Amino acid sequence: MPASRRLPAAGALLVLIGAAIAAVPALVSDFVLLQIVIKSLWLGIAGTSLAFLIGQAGLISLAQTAVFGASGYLMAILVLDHGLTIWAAVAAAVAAGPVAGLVIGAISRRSSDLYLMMLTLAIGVFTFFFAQQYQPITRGHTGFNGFDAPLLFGADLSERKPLFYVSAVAAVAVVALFRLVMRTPAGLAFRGLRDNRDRLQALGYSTSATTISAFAVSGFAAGVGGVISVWYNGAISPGSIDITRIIELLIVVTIGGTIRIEGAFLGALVVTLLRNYANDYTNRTETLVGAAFMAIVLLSRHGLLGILLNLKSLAPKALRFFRGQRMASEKEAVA
Amino acid sequence: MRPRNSKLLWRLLAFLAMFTLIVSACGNDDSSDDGAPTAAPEATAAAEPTAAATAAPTAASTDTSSDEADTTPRTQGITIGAISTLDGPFAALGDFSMHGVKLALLEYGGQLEGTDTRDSVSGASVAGVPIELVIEGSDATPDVAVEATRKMVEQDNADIIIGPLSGDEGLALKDYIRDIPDVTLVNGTSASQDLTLRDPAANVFRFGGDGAMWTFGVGTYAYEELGHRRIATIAEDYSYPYDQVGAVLTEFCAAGGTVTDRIWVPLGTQDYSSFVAQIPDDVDAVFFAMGGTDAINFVKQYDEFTGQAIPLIAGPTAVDQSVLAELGDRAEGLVSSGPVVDDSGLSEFDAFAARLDEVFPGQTPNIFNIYYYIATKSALQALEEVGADISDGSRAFQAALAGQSWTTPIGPVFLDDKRQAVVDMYLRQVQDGSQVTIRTLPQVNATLGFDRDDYIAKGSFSRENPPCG
Repeated sequence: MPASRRLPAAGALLVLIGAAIAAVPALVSDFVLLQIVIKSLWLGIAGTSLAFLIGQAGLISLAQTAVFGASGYLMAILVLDHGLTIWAAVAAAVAAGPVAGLVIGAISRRSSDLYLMMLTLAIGVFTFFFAQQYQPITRGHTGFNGFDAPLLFGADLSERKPLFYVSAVAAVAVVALFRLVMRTPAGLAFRGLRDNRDRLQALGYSTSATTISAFAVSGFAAGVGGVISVWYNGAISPGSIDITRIIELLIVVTIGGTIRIEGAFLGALVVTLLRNYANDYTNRTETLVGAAFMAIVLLSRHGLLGILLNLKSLAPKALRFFRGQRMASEKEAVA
Repeated sequence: MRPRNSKLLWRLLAFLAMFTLIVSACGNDDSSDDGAPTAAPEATAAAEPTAAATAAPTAASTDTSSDEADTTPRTQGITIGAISTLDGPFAALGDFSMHGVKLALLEYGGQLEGTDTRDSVSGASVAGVPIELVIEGSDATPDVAVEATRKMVEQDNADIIIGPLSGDEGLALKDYIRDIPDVTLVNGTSASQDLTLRDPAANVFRFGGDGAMWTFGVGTYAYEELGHRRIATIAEDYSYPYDQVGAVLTEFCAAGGTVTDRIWVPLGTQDYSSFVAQIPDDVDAVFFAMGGTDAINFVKQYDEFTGQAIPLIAGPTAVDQSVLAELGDRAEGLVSSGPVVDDSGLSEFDAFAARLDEVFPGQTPNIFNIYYYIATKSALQALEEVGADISDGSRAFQAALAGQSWTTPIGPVFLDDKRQAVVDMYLRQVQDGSQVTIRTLPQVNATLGFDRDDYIAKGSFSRENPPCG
């Protein structure tokens, strides 16, 4: 499609997304807006960082909560312990995401597959224990409580609607950024890493540099997710980045599907809904989440998004099928 | 084309799927831990839940939203929301807590809807007003506790929250509930001092002790009666054990004793050999403050390494009735202080124990079922006093709650002006697997008898605080 035709299309899409975002608060209750929608948004934003790594670069990382926690903790520490102004702390925290990604990428640049998972799991768990034990910086097990979300153009982000709009805009921005990166030559190199490491190397690319950059790019989203999660919770503690949360992020991404990074939001929504409402009906919420995860892995390799996309490709076929039927019956009538 | 690698990825994900299912089904997240011990395994088995449908009692949902309740007279019932740790490392303790909540509601005409932990109690009423119970669980992390509570308040229109179980959950809920003055939080077993001591919230009530109060008396006893002069402490490295060690040292050092080492172990430590090796030979006793499996592992290894050559003094939950059976003979003779003893002779205690065993066969009193029972019963009694009318934004109810003074299964309780209980503690010793009273410590308050301003000015207990010789 030539660029001249793509621009209006992109514009129309943006308007459509904007309208949808604007409509949400009117459609759902305050509770759902906060605990389902906003939670899904920040969990989804953090999820996109993993969806990007898995889906684009073929790197299954269990260290994304470490990045998430680094940003969240940094913001809380700068504001509550060092009295920095909130937006300076936010800027630092968001910048910390890619930096943490760089570090994690540098540590794990030579590994892939199972070894990468073990290495990143170690990093994720290390970060948890650091937060739990290193009191002078992290306040230990209790962590930081009573964090007030900032004001933005006079709107208090501890209120639900403003927080929702900011989260939604952040989600769109993160997705747009990822899509932009995916179109660059670097994005192609990431996919090369996923599809055939040896060949990528044979072509003269450095797999180490590519891995590090992929982690750095993904770190941005994890950092943004971490910052919004602290606004949402008003707190951060080791419990926000423990092994349960590490697995949860993986579940989110797998349920959503990694074929498109947007799948993370779908996965986050499903997990959040399950966590909130499943225990009205069963005592086994965790088992249900695990079973949903397994079912998705076994039935649809691209997650729920894969199923939806399949439906989409089925729709024209079905349409053609019915149209064929009608034409056939019309023919019959004529005959 | 994505041949080999994506297939491998796929296998990894499938492998992870199995791993996740196992992890999530067991709920054995031992990473987040707080203010309370893990329970004996047989208790877990006893409370094994079945996947029966829970009643979702959300019939009433019109006039209870916190902002509008002031104007409209209440025609529907009052909703009590109970929160405890129903998932994660303390799931068994969550079951104990809910036993306590339900027992209290049964006294008000309620009937169990099922044997499951999440099964509610129906038919209870106070002053003719039906009382509904909704139950939510956390996994002992503050984030999840706030979300679960928010769901009960906003979705189920809960007017009164009973819980939570662990210390840092309590602090997080205090921050949340403070902004919703019409809703009342009656603490379960969260033992964090600062739930009520520093920066209290007007709608938060605690009818039990905190970590320091539970440990009251044992420092003085160790110095004066047992004749100890130098002790070492070994405890888990977070706020709840800080409170216990802090309380012991505050008294022990004031009496003239000294502490040689304060050893802090990470939560969930399995191998205590290197920590036991740090305990000096020339101390008179070792105070240990741990919970659940940590306490079990530590006592076992300490016993094996040293034969308890240097006597142990226990923290309150390290030898709670919920872990005593698991500790077995190794716990014999251990001295501690704490809120629950088995031989108090209080008719209220015996009645509670009998009723507990009758409704939930095989269950015995421990700190969790008793504390949640006391919290729920206090709330129900206060409701009765105001005719179950909370249409004034719970003002009268909260005033009545603050004025509660009654004899609980573990002795008399009343609240101070910060809505923190003044309660009896017991200096006790393990004999034949039960807690036997050495001495009753009447009316222990939040500042352990010290001047309030002085006590608060000393700062929260920490790794180094209080300082001591």
